[in-house]
Amino acid sequence: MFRNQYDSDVTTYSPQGRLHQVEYAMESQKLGSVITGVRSNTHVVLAAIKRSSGPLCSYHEKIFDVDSHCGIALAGLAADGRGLCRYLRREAMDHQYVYNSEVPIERLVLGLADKSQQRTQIEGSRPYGVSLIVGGHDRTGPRLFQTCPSGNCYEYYACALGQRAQSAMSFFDRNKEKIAESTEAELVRLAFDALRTTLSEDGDLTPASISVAIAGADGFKKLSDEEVLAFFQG
Amino acid sequence: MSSQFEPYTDNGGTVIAVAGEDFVIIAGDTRLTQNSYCIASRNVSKVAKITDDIFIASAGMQADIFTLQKNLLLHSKQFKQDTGADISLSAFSQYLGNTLYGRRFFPYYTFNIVGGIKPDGTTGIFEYDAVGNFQEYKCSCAGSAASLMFPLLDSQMKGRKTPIPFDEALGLVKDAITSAGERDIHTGDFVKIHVLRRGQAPEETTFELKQD
Repeated sequence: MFRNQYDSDVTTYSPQGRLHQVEYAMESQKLGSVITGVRSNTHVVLAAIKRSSGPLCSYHEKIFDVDSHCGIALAGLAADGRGLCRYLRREAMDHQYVYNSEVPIERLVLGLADKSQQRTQIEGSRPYGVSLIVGGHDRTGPRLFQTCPSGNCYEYYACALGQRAQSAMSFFDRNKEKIAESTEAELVRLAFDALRTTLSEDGDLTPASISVAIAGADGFKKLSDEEVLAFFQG
Repeated sequence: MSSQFEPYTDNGGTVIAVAGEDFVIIAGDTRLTQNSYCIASRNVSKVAKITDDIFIASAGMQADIFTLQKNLLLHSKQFKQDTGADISLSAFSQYLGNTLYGRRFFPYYTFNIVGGIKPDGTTGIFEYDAVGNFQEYKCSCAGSAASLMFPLLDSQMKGRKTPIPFDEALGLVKDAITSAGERDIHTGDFVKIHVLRRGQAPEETTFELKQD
């Protein structure tokens, strides 16, 4: 009832103790096309459906490498996502420069979470309108995280964001026993199948509209169009 | 009578590069010296890989070499993230020139040679001074024994009508550095030779020089 009075700027609490502007920002990821991340004992797979605004338009890129050992998938305002990607890349490279080692993924994500939190507490700025799935492999093994505009971050074995992501999450829930021991190929297949559950009735996955990346002990790699096609056919 | 802080030191050593039609050989010894007569290390490479198609070899002060090469590597990585493609030889060579001139009034004590394959498949070697002047050549050398090696390189490379064949180029590089190792006290121990070829992964070999 009082929502409209307390939601005009991010530094105002509602009487219930909520920050409505932050909650509105968190809605933005639901507008994006679906992204999924899933983690086994050895690998992390990120998969995304790319959107294009029409047959004459190219597909919007959803998955980006951050460093040789990790990368992100974004859902929400893509421009905000690109800015955060630039930040993550600089942070990872800075760590490499100073410590001569790959930045631990948890540390990278926490830095991003702190940066997001600042935007929830400063008059005049708005929270980032994008949620990221961050996946990679570091000294602690494969790791998978989700960040959101509130500044919270969560670690997952499987997660999904975007339009109709709930069906992907339900799919992962039904198949959760299979995840930990999956091989690399099985994990990709799981990610694909999760994406499929989010499609509308007449929609289908096509190789051109899918992005996949795999992270393992040998690093983070986005699959080329040919490799995605091979997974499709195989 | 008190001495002022001296920011520079020369760690010695020599680097050389020779370009053929579809290959580039870039090599450097691995000896580091200090205070003229001390050996700081027998096994530190002066040659760094920037991409599969670009290598840089540097002689001079090891601290500046290490930092410069590290910065160049990271910048090239950033280039790839920002543009989606590996940095080209001409872009990298220009960037190095700019970087060196950026320190015109407190230079990197480094004498650099950049060697690589261009996107069209041709080869190039770029020779730099400490403040960023650079020029393209078919062969070059730098470092403590450069003045010993240049005459040998000139005699073999100047006035060639055709590009030097690979075996001859490799022999030239080995002979040049071996001879340098005989007479220059700062050059010796090991040589790391890198061969870049169009469309292939770079190959590295090591051979020994005298340890005296």
